[in-house]
Amino acid sequence: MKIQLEINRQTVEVEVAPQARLLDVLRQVGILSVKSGGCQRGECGACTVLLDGKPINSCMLLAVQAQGHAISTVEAEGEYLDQGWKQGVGLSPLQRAFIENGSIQCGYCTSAMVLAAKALLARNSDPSEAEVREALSGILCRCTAYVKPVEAVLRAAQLMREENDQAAKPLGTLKIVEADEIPETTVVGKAVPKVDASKLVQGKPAFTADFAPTGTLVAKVLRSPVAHARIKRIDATRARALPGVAAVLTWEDIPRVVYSTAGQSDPIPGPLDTFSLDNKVRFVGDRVAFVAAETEAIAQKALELIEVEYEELPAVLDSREAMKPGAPIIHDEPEYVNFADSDPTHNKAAAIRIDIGDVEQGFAEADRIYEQEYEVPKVQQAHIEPHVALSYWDADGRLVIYSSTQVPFHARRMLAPLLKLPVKRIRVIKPRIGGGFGGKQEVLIEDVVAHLTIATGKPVLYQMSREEEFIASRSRHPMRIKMRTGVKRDGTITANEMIALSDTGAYGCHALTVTGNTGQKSMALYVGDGKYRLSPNIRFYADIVYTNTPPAGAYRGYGVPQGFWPLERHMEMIARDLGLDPLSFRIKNALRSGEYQPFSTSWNEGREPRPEIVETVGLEKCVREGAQAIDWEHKYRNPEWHEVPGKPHLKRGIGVAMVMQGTAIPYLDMGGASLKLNEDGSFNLLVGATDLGTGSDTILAQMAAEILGVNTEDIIVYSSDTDFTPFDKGAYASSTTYISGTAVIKAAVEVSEKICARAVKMFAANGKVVAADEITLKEGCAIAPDGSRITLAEIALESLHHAEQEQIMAVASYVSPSSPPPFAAQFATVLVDTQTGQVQVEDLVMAVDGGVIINPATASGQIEGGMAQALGYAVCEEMRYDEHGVAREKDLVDYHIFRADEMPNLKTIFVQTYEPTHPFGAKAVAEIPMDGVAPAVGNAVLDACGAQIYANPITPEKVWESLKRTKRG
Amino acid sequence: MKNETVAYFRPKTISELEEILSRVQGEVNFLSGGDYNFASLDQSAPLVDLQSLGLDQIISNGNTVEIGALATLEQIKEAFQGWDCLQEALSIEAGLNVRNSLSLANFLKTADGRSPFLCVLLAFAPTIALLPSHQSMRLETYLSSRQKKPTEFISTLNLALPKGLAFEAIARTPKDRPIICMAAAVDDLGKLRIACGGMQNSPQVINISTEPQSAIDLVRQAYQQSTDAWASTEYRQATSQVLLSRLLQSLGLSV
Repeated sequence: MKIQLEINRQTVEVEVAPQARLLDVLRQVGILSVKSGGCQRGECGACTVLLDGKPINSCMLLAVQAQGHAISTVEAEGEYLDQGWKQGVGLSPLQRAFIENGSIQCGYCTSAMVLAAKALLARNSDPSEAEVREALSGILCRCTAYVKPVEAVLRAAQLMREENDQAAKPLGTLKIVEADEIPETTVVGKAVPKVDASKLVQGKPAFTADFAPTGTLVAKVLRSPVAHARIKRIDATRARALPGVAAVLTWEDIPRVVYSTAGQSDPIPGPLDTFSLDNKVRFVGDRVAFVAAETEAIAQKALELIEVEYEELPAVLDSREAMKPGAPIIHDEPEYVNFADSDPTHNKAAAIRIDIGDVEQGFAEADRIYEQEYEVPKVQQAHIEPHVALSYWDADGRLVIYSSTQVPFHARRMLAPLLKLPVKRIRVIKPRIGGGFGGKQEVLIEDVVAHLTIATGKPVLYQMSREEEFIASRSRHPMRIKMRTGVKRDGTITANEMIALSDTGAYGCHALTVTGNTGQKSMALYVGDGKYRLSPNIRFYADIVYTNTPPAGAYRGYGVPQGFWPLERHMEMIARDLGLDPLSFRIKNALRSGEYQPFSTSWNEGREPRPEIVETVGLEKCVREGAQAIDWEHKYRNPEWHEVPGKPHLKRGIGVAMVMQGTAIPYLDMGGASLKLNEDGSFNLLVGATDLGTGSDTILAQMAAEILGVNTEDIIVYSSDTDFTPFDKGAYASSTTYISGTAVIKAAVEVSEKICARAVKMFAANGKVVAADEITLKEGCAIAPDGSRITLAEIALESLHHAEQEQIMAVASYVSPSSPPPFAAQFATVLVDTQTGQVQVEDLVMAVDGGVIINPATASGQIEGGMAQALGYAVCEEMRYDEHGVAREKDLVDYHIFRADEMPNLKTIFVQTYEPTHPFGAKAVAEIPMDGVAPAVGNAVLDACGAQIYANPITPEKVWESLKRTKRG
Repeated sequence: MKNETVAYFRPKTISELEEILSRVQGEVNFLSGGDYNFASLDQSAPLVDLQSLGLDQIISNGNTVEIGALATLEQIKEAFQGWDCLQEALSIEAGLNVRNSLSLANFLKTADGRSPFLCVLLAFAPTIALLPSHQSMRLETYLSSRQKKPTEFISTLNLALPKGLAFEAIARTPKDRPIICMAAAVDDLGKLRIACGGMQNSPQVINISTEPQSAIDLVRQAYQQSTDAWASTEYRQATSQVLLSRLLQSLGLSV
C-alpha cells in the first residue's frame, strides 16, 4: 500500500507492506540514523524517533500507524557547518555538547539519545540531572554508563539558555593525578573530540547494515531446539520452493571444513571443533540451516518450512558432570583437531597446570590456610548493535564482506578455507561498530552471509536478533573456582592456589586463553612479602570442559574478572579473619615495580614463556587516591556511618578490590600503520586497528599529530579494511593504544624525519643552513631554531610537484616484548536491606594506573562504561538454563542491564605513571574496569551486614540466605 | 508472499469500527499502540488501527477515573500526579520510550505476574470494558482469560481512587523487574486489597474485609509454590511478610 509519512517536516510517499514496521520503512527511505537492536519488546531504544515530539520506539509501531503524525529523526537536527562553497546550519547545541564532552563511544545509540534529550529540552529548558536520566531511561547504552551523555544534555541546556559565557562543563567525575616524569605534550593527553564523533552524532551511514545495497537478500538461521542431537534427516524442499527464497543451505550443501570461530592470531591457540553447518547440534540455538530470501518475513517462513528430524542424544549441562566417566561425548567428529591438552573423549577443550615456586612448601610454612569455593556466572556482552554482516561479489569477482567485527584480518584469514577462496579474493571491511566488548572477536556470522552470497550470487545481509545474541553468540565463561591460600599471622602470603573448572559450552573458542588469563592476571597480583616476594609460590590449575550450552568466548576482561571475584573475596575474608586492615594487607603482598610478572616465567598461552619485569606499578597511589575519594577513613569501621537513622533494617557497607590486567600479548600482537602527507599538510593515517567505539582511531590520530606537529583534524584516519590498511591483529587484549599506537608513532617518526629532511633543503634554498635535528614540527610547520617556518603544505607541494618528487610516507609495524599491566583500586559503597537481601550500590570509585592517559575523555569513558558492565556482573547479570538447556534470558528485559535512571555515583581517577616501554608512557585502560567492581561490591555487602556471597551476581535471595545462615549460627 | 492484499482500517468512531468488523469476516489484528510482536500478527488478517477512536483520554470524575485503553503508560504516569507508588511502578515497568509507545490496552494484553504496574493496577480493583461487545468485567477476570488472538479489545479501564495506596518490591537493581512485588490499597470503608506479584502470569489479588491480621496467612498462601527461575517459594514467602508489614505501615495499618 502507498502511504504518506511526514518525516522531518517533509512529506514522503512510500510503498509499504501494511505490516511493515516504522523502523524498517524509515531505513528503507534512507533514514539510517534509526538503528535496530534486534529486540522484540522495544527495550533497547536504539530505534528512537520523535513522534509528535515524543520519543518512541519505531520498532513498536507500524509505518501505517505513523500516518498523520510528525516524525523527527536526528537527520534534521543539524549538519556540518562547512560544506565547501555552501555554508551549512551547523550542528545543534545538543550535538555539539555530545561531541565536546566525549559522550559518543560506539555511537549506535547516540542518535536516540540526542532525540530523547531534544524532546526533554523542548519542554524543560533547565532540567535537573534526575530529569535528564529519566528522559534517557528508554535508551540502553552499554558503552558510557550514561555519565557523559547526561553531562552533555545538561551542558546543551545551558548553551540553549544562552549561558554561553560559562566554560564547558568539566568532566566532573574525573580526576587526573599527574606524575612528574611525564613530558609536556600538546595533543597527547588532551580530551580532543573523537574523529568519528561528527558523523555519528548526525546519524550518518556508518554501521554495517547502513551499507546494504538495494536488492540485498535477508539471511536467517534455523537454530536447534534441542541441546544435543544428530540430524537424521533434513529436507529443505518446501522452503526452497517458497516464492522469494533465494537459497537454503544445510550441512549437505557446503564444504565440511573444521575450524575455530575464535578471532585469534595464527595458529589458533585452541581446538578446531566447529563447522559452518554440521550434521550434529550441540546446544539449543546451534546452527541447522541458512536461508536467504527477499524479505525477512519470507526468510522466517522458509525457516518454518525446513523439515528436520533429530536423533536426540543425552546432554551435559553441568560442567561438573562433563568429565565424569560415561558422560555423553559432545565432540566425536573425526575432523576434530587437538590443541595442547584438549581431549574431546573426555569433553576437555583445554587444561592448564602452572606451578610457580614451591607451592606445597609455601603451604607448609603458613600459619593458617584458607580454603573456599567460589562461582562466577555466564554473562553476555550485550552490545546494542547485534552481530551483523553483509557480503557481495564485487565486479572483479572478489567477495566483499562488511562486518561488525573486532578482527577483520583474522576473519579474512579464517574464512578463506571455509569458502574455498584464497585470501586474496576476500576483502573484509569493518565500518563503525555498535559495541563489541569481545563478542565480536569471533568469526561468528561472516561465513553465513558469505556462503549465501556464493550460493545466490547476490548481496546478503544477516543481523542477529537479540534472542539469537543470547542463545547463539558468545559469552563470558562461567567457572567454579577453589581458592586455597597460606598466610603468616602478620599477613604475609606464603602460597596461593587457584583451581578452576571452566565451562566453554559447546565449542572451545577461546577456551584455553580466556581461562589462562583467569590465573595469569589475577593470581599474579599477590606474590607475598619478604622472601616470598623474591620467590612467590603460586599454583593455577584449570580444566576447561565442553557442555551442551551456548559457547563462551571473549568478553572484555577476557577471563580476568572470573579470577578477581574469588581472589578478592578471598583476600577480604583473610584480612578480616586475621584482623588486618584490608588495604594494608593487600598492598603488603602486592606486586611491585621492578619485579617479575610471576606467570611470565612459566606460561604463555601455549607458547614458550618469556620472563618479563613489570616496570610501573601505581597501585599504592591508586589505593590512596581511591580511599580518599570514597572517604574510606571516615566510613570503614565507623558504626555510625553503617546505620541509617530510623531504618534499622538498612545497613551501609564499604568494600575494596585491587586488580591488574594486561596490555597486549607480548611477542604476538602486531599492529601496522601507514601514513602519508597530502598537499595541504594533512595526513592520511591508515591503520588495521579496529575502533569498536573505544576511540582508538582518535588516540592513534592524537599520537601521530603530536609527532607531526599538527592538530588531530589534520589526521584523516581510515581503519580496518583488509584491502587498504596494513595488518593489525584487531581490537582485543587492551592492545590498540600500546601496539597499534606504537606502530603509528614509528610511522609518524619516519614521516617527520622525511619532512625535516625536505625542510632542510627548502631552508637551504632560502640561504638558511639548518640541520634536520634542529627542526621542530609544530603548528603545521617545520620551524627552524631562529623561528622561521615552512608550512607542511609547502613541503608537501615541494615534494609532490616541484623538486625531487616523492611521496612522503611511511609504513611501520610493531610487536612488543612487553605487556605492562595496568593496576587499579576499586571501591564501592552499598546499602543492604537486611530483611529482604536487596542491595543497592550507591558509589563506585575506581583509581586506575593506566600509564599516561592519551585522551582523558575517551579513557574515562572506558572506565565508566566498564564499571557499569561490571556492576551488572556484580548484582544482576547472569545467563541460566533449564534442565533441557533452554535459556532463561532471551532479551534485555530479563537480562537486565543498567538504565540511565538507576546508576550509582561513579568516579574515575587516573593515577598516571610513565610506562617506559611505550613512547608516550601509555598502558591500557579498556578492560581493567571489568575486574574489581563485583568483588568490591561483595566485600561491601559483607561489611554492611556480614553476608558472605560466594557466587555472583549478588542477588537479594543470596544475601537473604546468607543472613539466615548466619542467624542460625 | 506479498502483503498488499491485507487491508488496513483506521476507524474514527465506534460505529464505523463496528461497521468494519461486521464487514470483515474472520480474524482481525487490532492495533492499539506500542505493539511489539509484529511477527505474531496474523499475516493475512486485516489491520484495524484504533488510534483515532478517541480512546486515549483519561477522565477523572470525583473519586473515579476512566482511562481510555489507548492512553499510553506515560500518559497514565503523568495523569496520576501525587500517586507516587503508581508512578514508581510505571518507572520500573519500562523506560520512557516504551511508556510513550505502549498503550494500556496492549500492556494489559501482555503483562505478566512480574509486572510492577499491573500489580499496582490490580490493587485499585479496576474494571475494564471490551469492544465491540461492550462487555464489562473485573481486570483480574480478563487477565485469567486472555487470548492469544483476541476477538475483542479493551476500550476503557475504570477504577475508584482508594484512600491509601502502597507499593513495595524487591529486585536486583532499582529498575529491574521485581522478584516479588506487592501493592495494597485501602478504601474508605477500610477494606484492604492486596496484589501479590513477582511471579506467574499475573499477580494474585487478596481482598481483606476483616482484620489486616488475616492478610499474613493469605499472602503467605499466595506465594505457595511460587518457585520459578527467579526465586524460591521460601524466599518469596518470607519476604512477602516483610513487604506486607511495610505496606500496612505505610497505609497506617498494623498487624
